[in-house]
Amino acid sequence: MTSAADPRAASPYERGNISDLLEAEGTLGESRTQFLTPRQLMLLRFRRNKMAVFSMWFMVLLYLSALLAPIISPYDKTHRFNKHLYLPPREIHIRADDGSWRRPFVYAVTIETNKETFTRDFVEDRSQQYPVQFFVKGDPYKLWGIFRMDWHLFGVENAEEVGPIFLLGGDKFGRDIFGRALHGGRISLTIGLVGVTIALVIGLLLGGLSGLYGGLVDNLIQRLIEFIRSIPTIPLWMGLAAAMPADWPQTRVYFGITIILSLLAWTTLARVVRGKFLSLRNEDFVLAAQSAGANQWYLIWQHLVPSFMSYVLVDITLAIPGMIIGETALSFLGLGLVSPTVSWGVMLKDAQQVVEIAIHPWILWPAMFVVVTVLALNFIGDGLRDAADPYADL
Amino acid sequence: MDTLLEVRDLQTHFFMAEGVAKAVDSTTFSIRRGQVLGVVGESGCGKSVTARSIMRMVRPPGHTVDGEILYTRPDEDGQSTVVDLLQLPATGTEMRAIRGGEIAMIFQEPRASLSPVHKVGDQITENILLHQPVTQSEAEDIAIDMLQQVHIPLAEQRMNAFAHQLSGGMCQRVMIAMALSCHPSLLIADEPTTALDVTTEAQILELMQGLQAELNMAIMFITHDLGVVADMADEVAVMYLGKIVERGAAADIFRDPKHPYTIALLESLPRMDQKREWLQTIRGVVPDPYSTLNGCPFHPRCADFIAGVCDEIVPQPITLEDNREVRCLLYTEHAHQESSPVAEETSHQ
Amino acid sequence: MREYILRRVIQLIPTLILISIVSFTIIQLPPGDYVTTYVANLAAAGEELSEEEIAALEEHYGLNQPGYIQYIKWITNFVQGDMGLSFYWDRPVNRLIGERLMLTMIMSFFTLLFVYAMAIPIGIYSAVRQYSLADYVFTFIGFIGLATPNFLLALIFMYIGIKVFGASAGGLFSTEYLDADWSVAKVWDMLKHMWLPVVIVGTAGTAGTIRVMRATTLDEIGRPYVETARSKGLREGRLTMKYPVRVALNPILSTIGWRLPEIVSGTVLVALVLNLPTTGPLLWRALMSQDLYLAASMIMILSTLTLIGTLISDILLAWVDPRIRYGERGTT
Repeated sequence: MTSAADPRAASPYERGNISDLLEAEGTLGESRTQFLTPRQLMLLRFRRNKMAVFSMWFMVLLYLSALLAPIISPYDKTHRFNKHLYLPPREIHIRADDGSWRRPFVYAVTIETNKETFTRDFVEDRSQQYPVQFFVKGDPYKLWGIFRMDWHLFGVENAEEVGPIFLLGGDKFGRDIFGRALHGGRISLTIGLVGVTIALVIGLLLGGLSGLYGGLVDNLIQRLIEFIRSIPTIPLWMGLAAAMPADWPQTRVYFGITIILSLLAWTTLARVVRGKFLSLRNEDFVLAAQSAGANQWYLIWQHLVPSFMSYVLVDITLAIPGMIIGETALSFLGLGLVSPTVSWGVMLKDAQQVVEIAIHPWILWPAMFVVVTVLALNFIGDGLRDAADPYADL
Repeated sequence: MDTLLEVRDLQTHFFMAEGVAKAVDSTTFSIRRGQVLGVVGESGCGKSVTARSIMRMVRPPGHTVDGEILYTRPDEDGQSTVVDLLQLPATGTEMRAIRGGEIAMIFQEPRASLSPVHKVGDQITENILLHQPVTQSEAEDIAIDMLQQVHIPLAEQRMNAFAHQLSGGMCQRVMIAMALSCHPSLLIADEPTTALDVTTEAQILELMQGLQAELNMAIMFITHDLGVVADMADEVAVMYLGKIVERGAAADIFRDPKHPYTIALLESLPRMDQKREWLQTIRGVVPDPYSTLNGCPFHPRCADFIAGVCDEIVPQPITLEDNREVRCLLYTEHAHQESSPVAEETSHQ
Repeated sequence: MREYILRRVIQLIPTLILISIVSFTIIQLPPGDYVTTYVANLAAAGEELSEEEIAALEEHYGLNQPGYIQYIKWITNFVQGDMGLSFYWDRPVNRLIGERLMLTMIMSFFTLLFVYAMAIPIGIYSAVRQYSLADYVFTFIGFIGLATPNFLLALIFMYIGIKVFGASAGGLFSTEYLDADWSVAKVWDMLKHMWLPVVIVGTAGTAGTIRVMRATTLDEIGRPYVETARSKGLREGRLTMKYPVRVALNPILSTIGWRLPEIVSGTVLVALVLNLPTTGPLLWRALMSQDLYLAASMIMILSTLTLIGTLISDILLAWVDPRIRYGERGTT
């Protein structure tokens, strides 16, 4: 008999739900959920959330493309096409003017001066077709600082004259926004991961101490957390970021920013960890292990940590977007990373002037990368949270 | 004594993505005015859903798909009319007047059943104001009077208390005061003492018995505890998997249970008058609500299972002597054809 | 009640001291000071200053003294209402900050109002009509709102403003009111401009609050006390508002003060993009030019105001809900 005290347990429908889930997943036929570990259950529930799974694959793709940025982007991130400043995104055609189907190609661009506005406009020259070529030789680069290479995933011939293949347009120096956004992902995407790792270490340590020892230690740490959280973030970040000497090398600035961003994030994690420690301290299974004479550290690693790791995982996933936005904001303000380092925030710095955006709206593309990344990470985090909830009914 | 509520062939199903769960499956019973009906069964057998079907409080994905709930309503001129509650709109004026006013309900978890942010006094007066033409202060007087009737000390001060300031037993007393504040003709009590400790349970049961006699109301008492039923009920209905498997006067059922399930339930009960080494249990568990068992739903767990009969023929209710009703193939000619041992010989005592 | 307020105010003091130290130290952290930056700038322009001139400058600004003395001097004056001199503007900090601070506060207040006015009804609606079309639409908008940093949102709005209306959406006043004295017409003009930054800053908060409101309401709708209320024969609409919504509102309203740091941060950033005459652009410039007293004072004031806002919301809450006064935080 199920426990009568819990009305949900008394409901006859719960069990049917999960058994159906298992059947749908094709893993188990007759057997029941009690044979699954919580982790397997979590995985099953996560896999059911289509949006979260899709977002996860999307993020994998994004991280991969950041990793392989020099190969995927057609030009070097610093390559300036001086004749093609602010070149709009190139249109890839697969149909010629006569209606015949072709393999993907672009028309050459020519520059015309508009007689009325006296601006230089780019015009497609419909008479010249240039096919999109794959695995072409181009700007040399060193992949991951090790492999000397010079081929790129795609490109067009005679780029200097007839226009480079800028999928998302070019910036004010005639550089490829698409390729730079992929390169920028290396900074923007990793800053979240590194920052969260730092936050996790601090959060686990202080939150654990707080929850484990209680008393004065707990009190001090809690006051510290309250203090940090009461300061408005952006002014604090701005102040700290501005405090970094201007002559610091970019790698050091990168870590400086990461540390600044994790300064706030750890407080959330520490609270979660502390809360779990406190509530688990009195759980039956912990008392049982204690009365069985388990050593304290053994208890923490074998029982406490696994039981809240899923919650921490959720909070980590949800903390990364905040960091990505933070880096973007600081670099956008000119307080974080600066050119020649490429990050989404650094790229967006060019979009500070509304006039520029009005004329060349494609310079906002890096913003799309930020938004979509944050969106995807939020979906993953939500999916994980729902999956980690042991009482969730699907 | 006249019939107050007659439930005929009630079917409440839950339409889930994974199939239809027949929580209540053609259930028939009636309650007479001033009588206590005990509804007994294991968790998940459809007792609570039956209660909520009568109250028209089944929430989607649950729907009452068929049946009649004939409720005899007293008119102002002393006459009475019979209404089928299932024909009334569930959230309409008439149903809402009956709900809380004429049929009231108390629940399993008294503290969770009271709002955490409203004073208990306000929650009681709300019910009074909904159903009686009285002013706020009159309603408050009635509420205080009700709290005194359920033996809550310092009733006037308790009006201002919040649920979290009261004990579980106190909360259930408040719930009873609220439910009885409009003198309903039927009180549905859904496991009202399950969440309480034994001493409190006894007090609450005694209180309910006293008030039942005093107010001459009928009670539909839902529980999984046969001991409680023995104390309280005039009539007993035993439910298994959405169906009533045995029905009759309480005394008869305890003296001479007919259905193997009832027999097994009684066997699992500790008794003062008998010396036993250990308590019997019923083997197996209540099956999955989506499962489509052939034959009698109890056959996989039944001690008197007859192969080829019980797993093939769906038993229909059979009326025995003394207004007893049982849903078991052992009392039909099917069983005798197979010449299997019949329950009377093999079972209790 | 009085005891509770007193306790909270006393708790505030060490926090404020800590914040003042942190604010001041952060600005002191980078090597060099305003004079070094100033000298470097002059040198870049081809003008060299002599040793004596530099020393005189340092003395003028009080930068030749050790840091802690500068701090003590600053904080003593600060408490008396004198926030020192802005090096860059060569004007008292008080006068520089005054009006901008007021505008920041007004904007934060309206943003808070906007967030709750939007989020609570939408959250309730989404919960009551779970899985309806509107629920999906709101959830989707909510996700986008959470994912778009507000300074980007500001950029996008500016872009739309230019493309669709042919006008820049920046600023808080029309040109004719820019330097005008305060009048009813100027206030009205300000309010007409303010809705846009308020919407931009409030979007993320609104999206977040909708999610919390929806989730808590859904949680409460399934609780036994709602069934009790239904068993009384209450009308469904009234039932929802009086019981589950009422309970779900408690934690949302009780954390109203916690939203302030987020909103103040938002206004700072958005003000920079939209070029609003609030504290944001001033703080940015002060940080960039190491304008010690101006920057420290502004961080200090913004933090203090946030803390006071949080305190007021806590006190109001304790006044409304006796359970919190006695230290039982949280509901149900």
